[in-house]
Amino acid sequence: MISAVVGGAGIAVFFAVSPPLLAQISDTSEILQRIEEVRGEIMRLQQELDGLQPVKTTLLSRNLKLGDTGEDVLELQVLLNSFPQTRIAATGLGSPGNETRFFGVRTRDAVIRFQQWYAGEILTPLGLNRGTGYVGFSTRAKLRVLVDQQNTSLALAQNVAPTPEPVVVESPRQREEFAPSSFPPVVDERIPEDYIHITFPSAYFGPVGTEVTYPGYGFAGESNTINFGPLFQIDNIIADSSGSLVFSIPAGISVGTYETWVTNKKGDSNTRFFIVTPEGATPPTAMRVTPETMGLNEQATIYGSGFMPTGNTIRTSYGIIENVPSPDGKVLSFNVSPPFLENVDLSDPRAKRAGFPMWVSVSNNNGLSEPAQFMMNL
Amino acid sequence: MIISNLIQKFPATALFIASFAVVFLFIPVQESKAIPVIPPFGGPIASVFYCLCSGNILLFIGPPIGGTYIYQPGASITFPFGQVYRPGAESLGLFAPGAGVCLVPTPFGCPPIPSVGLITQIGTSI
Repeated sequence: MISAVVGGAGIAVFFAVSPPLLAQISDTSEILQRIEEVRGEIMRLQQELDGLQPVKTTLLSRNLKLGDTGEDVLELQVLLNSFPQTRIAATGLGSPGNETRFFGVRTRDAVIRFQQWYAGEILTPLGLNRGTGYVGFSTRAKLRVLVDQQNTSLALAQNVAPTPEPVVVESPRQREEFAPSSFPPVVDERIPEDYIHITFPSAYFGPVGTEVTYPGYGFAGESNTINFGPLFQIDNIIADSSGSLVFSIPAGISVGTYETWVTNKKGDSNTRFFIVTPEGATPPTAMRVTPETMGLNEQATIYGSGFMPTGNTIRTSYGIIENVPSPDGKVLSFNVSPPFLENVDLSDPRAKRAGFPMWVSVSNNNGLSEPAQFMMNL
Repeated sequence: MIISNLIQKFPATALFIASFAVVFLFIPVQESKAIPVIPPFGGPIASVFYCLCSGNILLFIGPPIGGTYIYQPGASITFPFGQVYRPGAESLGLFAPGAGVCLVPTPFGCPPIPSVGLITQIGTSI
């Protein structure tokens, strides 16, 4: 009884205060027709979504190159064809819907376009200026991001969880310790037989005669050449028992900063820098960065000593800034603009505010400073 | 005072409790066998991806122990040279499998991108 009274009063109030609404819904048949149209549109979209399949990622389980065949080549072609910039062919074999299992010249060319499209993430870290057409781990890593984005978006739209993928773990120890179910997807990182790579150099600067160790992969059992730029080479370096290369900075090499890499019959390694300093040189110091906390694209100032009038290199957590001047030898300035924030819409209301610790070291012909720290807030 | 009164009133109970205490003193304490597994990772940083909705970073790391790992500012302990956002730097560290989440914006919301786990410690080359 009480509820009936309350309900009746509510309806009375509703009609009393909402005359415009009453006018809007007066044509019931029109509204019902509109509802049916929307319902039809929803059903059509749902059918489209149901027809879409998550992109398989077996293509990420091995490196691919010209001449390879297999299901993963087909998947690679499908993925490349999903971007206009990397479409393999407009018509015929390799075109969207006509992908093949053969890694031919047109696939290679599409891979090159893909690599150059994402050069900053694929080529630059490897010291390359042009795409190679070889689908190695960097290319697979970028493909993986795109595949994951597609799959998670699709899964969300289809209201299902993303399908976990099988895990490939490398060492027997890992295989024993971790059940695959305990791992989310991981990029397969089997070390290729021809992998040749410098990891953590024991030193980054020093005068002639400095002993340096290059630990890494692919040096053992080889006659290795260590290159200091294109002009200086140290030949016939044999790896020690740990697989590292130990060598001394040769006499006759000029003071300066060199890109160094190792060459053997497997090919060329990645590059690491080394600064040949004058005898007795004092390396620069980076004491502090101001402001200690700053925003994106703001100017940071490094205070320290031993900076040169020109030719200083600032090595930040996100990238390298070369040839920075310091008129007084004590101050260096640069803008904080990490590449990983390029093309990121920070005005998106879903963007989470975060602070990123950053480190900077300064190098010049006298050596390399210890890192100084600041915070970049978004 | 209160304790001595209780002992006088309930001597048997007090003896019982005291004997338990003595016995427990000599029981060796065993460490928990559920030690969390904190496996290592390491390799060149291949690419860096910003997770807009979660405010952290997904690192793609190459061989020998690579994969996709989440770097969480404030939680991932970072050692020199701190080049964690620069592709090409060599990395070495520890991670917590399955922890952390990288959320990216899409038209459908902010779904997670799968990763191996959360970086707990990381050091890099320069």
